[in-house]
Amino acid sequence: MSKAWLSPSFLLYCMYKNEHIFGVSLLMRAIIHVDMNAFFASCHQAENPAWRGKALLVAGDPKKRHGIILTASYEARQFGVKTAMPVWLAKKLCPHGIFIQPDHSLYLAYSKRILAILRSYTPLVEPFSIDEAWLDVTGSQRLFGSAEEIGRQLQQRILTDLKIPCSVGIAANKFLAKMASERQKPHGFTIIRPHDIPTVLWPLPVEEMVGVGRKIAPALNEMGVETIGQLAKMPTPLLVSRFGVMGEILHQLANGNDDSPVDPQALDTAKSIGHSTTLPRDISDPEDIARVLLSLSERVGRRLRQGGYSGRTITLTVKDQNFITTTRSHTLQEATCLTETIYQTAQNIYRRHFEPWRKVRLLGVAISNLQVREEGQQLTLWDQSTERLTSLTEAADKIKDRFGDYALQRASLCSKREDKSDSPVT
Amino acid sequence: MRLSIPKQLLSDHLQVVAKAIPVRSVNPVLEGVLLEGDGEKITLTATNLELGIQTYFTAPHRETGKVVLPGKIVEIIRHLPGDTVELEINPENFATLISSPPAEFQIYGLSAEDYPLFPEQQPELAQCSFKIKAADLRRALRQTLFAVSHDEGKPAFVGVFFSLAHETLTLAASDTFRLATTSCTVQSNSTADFLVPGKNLQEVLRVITDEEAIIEAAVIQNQLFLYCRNTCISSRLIDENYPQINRVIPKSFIGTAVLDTAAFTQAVERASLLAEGSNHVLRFSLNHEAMVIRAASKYGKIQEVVPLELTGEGVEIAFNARFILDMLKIVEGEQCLIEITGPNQPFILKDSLADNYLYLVLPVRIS
Repeated sequence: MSKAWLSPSFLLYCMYKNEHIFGVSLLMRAIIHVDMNAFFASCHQAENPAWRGKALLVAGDPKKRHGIILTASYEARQFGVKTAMPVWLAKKLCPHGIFIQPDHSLYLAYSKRILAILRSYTPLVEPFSIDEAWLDVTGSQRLFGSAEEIGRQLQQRILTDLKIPCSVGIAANKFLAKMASERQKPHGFTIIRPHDIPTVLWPLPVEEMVGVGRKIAPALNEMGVETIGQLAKMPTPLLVSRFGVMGEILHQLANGNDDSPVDPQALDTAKSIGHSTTLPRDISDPEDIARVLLSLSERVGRRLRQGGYSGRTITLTVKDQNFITTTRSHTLQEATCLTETIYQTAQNIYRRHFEPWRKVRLLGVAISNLQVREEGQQLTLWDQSTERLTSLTEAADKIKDRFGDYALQRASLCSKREDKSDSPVT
Repeated sequence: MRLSIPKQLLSDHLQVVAKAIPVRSVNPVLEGVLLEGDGEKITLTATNLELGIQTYFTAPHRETGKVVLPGKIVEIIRHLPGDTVELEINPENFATLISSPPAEFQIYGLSAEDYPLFPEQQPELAQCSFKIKAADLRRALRQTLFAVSHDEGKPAFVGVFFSLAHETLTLAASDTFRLATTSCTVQSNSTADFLVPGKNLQEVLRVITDEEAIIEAAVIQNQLFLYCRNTCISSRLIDENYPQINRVIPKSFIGTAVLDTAAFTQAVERASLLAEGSNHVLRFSLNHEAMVIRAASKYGKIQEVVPLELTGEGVEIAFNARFILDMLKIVEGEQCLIEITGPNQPFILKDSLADNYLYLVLPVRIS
């Protein structure tokens, strides 16, 4: 049998046309973007079949002043409910809706199971947030079929195994794949091929482009750019002079070019770790503030240690009763991963920079200047408290790793433990 | 006030006080040098409120007056072309004319009224006083200063601890990771303990360079005064308790090793090139044949063998390379002595030429 069809000119033709041989693309990468639909609401509906097909609204507790809609199920969205809408307005639009409080450990558990499914197709999975991820399946197509088949398979598996609907976008790079998954929701399936760019991508308004935010969109409109197509045809120097490096990147993206790799470690290489909380009521009592700072520092410290990091710069964020936000930071002589050190530093920053009479609405603690924690510990003379604290922290972390984060708690934080129930808000 | 001063004389004295001029100060008058003439001598003063330096020389003219000249004066005088400097200070507005033909500077001086007084030196109030050879003090400072902490969060450890007991002055410095202590003979009949900021002592080393001189020292009301010829240095003392030094110095050892200083230093220097992270970890393995130094980083690894004479037991241990090198740099003797106290226990390093010197360094614990 002749193998004339394998001639170089034919292969070049295939590369040019991006045709598939044995279902494998020759030139281009095959990137899949998976985006869960109404993720928080979907998780609750998956857990509780009684809520399926109903208008379910996940919202913060208005009594604790987290009174906005975090996610609304698609059934609720029909009534005009949108994310970040105040609860009172959502109740007006959708009075029969079921309002529940978020349960982040539930979402995390589902997210982990979804990632496990995705990783069964390729190790090149880059989680983008709790409910989104990219997969580079260029090399997996010989094992599992074409990118399209893989996309269909994983969408189906996530739906049947976990009862979570998702939208899938497939393209040759991360940007186009994400743009594709955004096209159709819920349960969408979109492929953007290079020749689709002028017809699918370009007519879209620039606001819908990944990377164009609230600040850039109006500026682009001012320049007369309304659609992605217009952006793609703008001269690059003009964009660079207006937006700097970002201008060049936007121009490339608008033309469908994005060579950023799918990086499985992207989320791991953190630049800073922080937590913040809006308080149930404005506080100014130093003891209350100390307790909140300790609880935030504990969460920051735990995540820091889990990632194997230590950090030097502690930043405290304070929003006062007048919604004025101030951040102040302090850089330590030596990097730390200890809750106590983070807490003491945050406390000192608070005492030094904030008047005690100021009523506080939100507090945040973050640590940056991160470095990978080192092997070995320098021993010290006289003051062995750091050594002892390190051993104590290591032991406590081991217990938490085995029995869960709530297995061991600081006594001072016990009374203030948050209610974790999912009971409907009435 | 009109003065005509040999340029070199003025420049040398300015260089001395310059060490105490703060780079930036909330009080602009502090960024200058106070020049005073009392009819007999010209006195120069600079202070950053932590450290003050005062020096004088005999005045060629019986002129009186005072002015604060900006810190730039140090460089101005140094760069003047001639051998003599003419200074003419207008007492009304403190404008100062500095001429050394063909150069002529017009400098805007400040009123000396605003300049802080130099700490009062009342010998009758002295808590203690002693006389020490400049060479001895300089040596003791070199042996200890490197070990002070630069972490302002440990206020006691940014200082060098001075302990005076009759004829013996003991100095100790530590950043809690290592401890350097030495002692020298002084002329004194008092007993006192005080804590001097390491930063100020660093300047003392720069100002007192004449090894032959005899230094008179006194502690008066929270200030240490050091007099050396025409110069007086005053340093604020740190008001903190210094921990017990003797408590942490081990008295018994499992082994003692003697090494050639040069060979040891060079080996540690080479190995430290691959010592990783902020702990700069070097692994030492001591046995009766030799000391093996190892380091590893993402760039590769090194192993180096240093011959030694070991009595007693050896040890497997890790140290911060910098801590070891700091000490080896000041060793004067050809041999260096290591006292081993056990795994994860400190090393005591000694200099074969300095009997009273002891350097204790704590290891890095490796799991």
